[in-house]
Amino acid sequence: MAVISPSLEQTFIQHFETLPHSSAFYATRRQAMEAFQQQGLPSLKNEGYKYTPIARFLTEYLSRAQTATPPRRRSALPGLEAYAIELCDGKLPASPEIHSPIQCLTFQEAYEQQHPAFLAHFAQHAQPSTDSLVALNTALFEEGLFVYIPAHTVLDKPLVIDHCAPESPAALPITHPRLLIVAAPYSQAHVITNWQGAGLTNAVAEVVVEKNARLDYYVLQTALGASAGQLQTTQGYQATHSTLNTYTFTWSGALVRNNLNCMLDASHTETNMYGLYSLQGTQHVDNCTTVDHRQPHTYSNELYKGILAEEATGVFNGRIYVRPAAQKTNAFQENNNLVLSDKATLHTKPQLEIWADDVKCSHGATTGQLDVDQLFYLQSRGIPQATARALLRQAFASEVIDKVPLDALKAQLQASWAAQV
Amino acid sequence: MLQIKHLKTTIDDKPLLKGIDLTVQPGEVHAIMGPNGAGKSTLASVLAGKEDYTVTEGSVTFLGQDLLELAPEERAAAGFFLAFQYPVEIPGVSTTNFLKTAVNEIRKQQGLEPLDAVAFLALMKEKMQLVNIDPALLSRPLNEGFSGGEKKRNEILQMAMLAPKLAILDETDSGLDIDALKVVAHGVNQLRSPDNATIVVTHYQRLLDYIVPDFVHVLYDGRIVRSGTKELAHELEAKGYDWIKASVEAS
Repeated sequence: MAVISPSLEQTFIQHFETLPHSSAFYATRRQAMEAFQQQGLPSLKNEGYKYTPIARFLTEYLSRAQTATPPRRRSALPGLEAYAIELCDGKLPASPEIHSPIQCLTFQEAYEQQHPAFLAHFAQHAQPSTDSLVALNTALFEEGLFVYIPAHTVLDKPLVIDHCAPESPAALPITHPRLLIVAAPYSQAHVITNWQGAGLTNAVAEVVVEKNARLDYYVLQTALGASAGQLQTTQGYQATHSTLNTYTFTWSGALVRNNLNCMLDASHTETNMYGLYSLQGTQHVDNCTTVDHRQPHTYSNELYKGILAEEATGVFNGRIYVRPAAQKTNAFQENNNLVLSDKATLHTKPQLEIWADDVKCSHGATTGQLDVDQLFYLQSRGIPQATARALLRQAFASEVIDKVPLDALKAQLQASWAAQV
Repeated sequence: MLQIKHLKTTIDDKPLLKGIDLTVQPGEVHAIMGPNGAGKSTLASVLAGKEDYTVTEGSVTFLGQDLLELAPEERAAAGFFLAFQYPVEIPGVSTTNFLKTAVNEIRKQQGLEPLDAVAFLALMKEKMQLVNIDPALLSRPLNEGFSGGEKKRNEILQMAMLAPKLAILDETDSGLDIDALKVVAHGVNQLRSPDNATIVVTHYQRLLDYIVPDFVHVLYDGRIVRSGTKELAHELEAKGYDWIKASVEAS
């Protein structure tokens, strides 16, 4: 059922019609646009979007006069030694030159070079036919970024992809950034996407981890503008003996929806998914994760934690599928929340569907306030109540932040988290 | 130093302490003994400022201040310390970071400059020797996964670091084997001085062989029913609490 206001749909169709028919990606875009028009934006009747009114948010956002130009923030990760690429207004510099052993190409360049990994994986994992946000991005993406980590390459420094704010939101109300990462066999890398500024974003990343490769993928939603809206789909695909670790940190923006889907299509894979959302005001953050165990001997572990203050809303939906063939699966999921105000709301929903019979799966969800006995203990040692509360909140958050293996980034995140509390 | 006058408290309207009178002078060690449920831990918790209890009558004066008017952290800054019977585990807060925060927050309330990292570590190193604590414990989250003995040593380490005027040890001997008991008692004895005082709350006389009290009080049914010297503890050990119960009910 298409649930989409005519004006919003019109906005997307108009945008689509400005795209050149001659582009190499036009056929893909056309199909995706059709898929989008069939599906419409996800409505509240859609179980997976029950708590997150995307269409309403977009309509309201677009109807507001967008006059103020948000200040552009740069270099949100000082102190982190990294290869850096900056995208502005969703656009890439031509042939991003980063002097590293990895390849960073625009989609156009990758296509012109007939890069085999690009051709093999572009739009193969994130499916427009079943996900209307992916469909919209596939139809309308600006110049995409293709990151290729060659086989046997261990990247010495992380790659940071900085997305800065559009200078003039009115010119481009919604950006559709697109990323394809392919970690070739036996490679190892950390890739950090850092989202800054105001505006609406509907981003898609396809993340492919090939045989025996290890990829650490970070989504930092810590420096968005107060009115920013972000829809973010990460589609992971893992080959045998690969490891994918994802880290999602969210404490900025007005509305954020993260769809993180990991497809374990080979045996002996490892997947770790960590998330921390720390919200206040009327912020709304929805993390929807899916792990699809399709082959035997796969391992997934998920830890998401949330801190909700004031009138914030948090949503966590964790799906784990264990297919009939996926014997000897280990799948663990944990979602813990601190709700610090009577007016904050949290919805948490673990969803395990298990068809195999020789597996180990567990899940847990907790929601509560700060522990009064812990508070009293700290106070009895001379620590004032406000400080004691802050210490306990920090302890709660650091369990996730401490999972970050890059010390400089960990320190950055700790400081950034402490600054917003 | 501490004057408790006719202290009565309730929890959920149920009376717990039914009129406690106790005076502690600097340099003294008092032992409070009594059967389970007599109100020993209640008294310790009320003095530390736990919110669950309502004081319905009486007063507590500590170094000239109305103790009951102070927040728990202010009591700590004034020189009051409670070694908990069951120290809570706080995952995510390292013991060292916690100690540093506590020491400096107390210094701040006392109008002193905070200790820098070097001075703090020197102090910690000195005090650790008192309780023979494994240095590896201090980088671990506070009390998390500590054994019973490690938790109690950590309580005494905190006491040494915060240098209180008055310390209450709430059943510090419970769950300790004899070696750990000696270590804990040694730490407490080293910290004794003519300026500070200690109240030892215990169920058994055993701890009092190592921390020798000047006065022993027997708490029963929310009242101090008998006070004496350390011989009273031996008498209790020999005759049991039934002796006290019988003599209270007879009078």
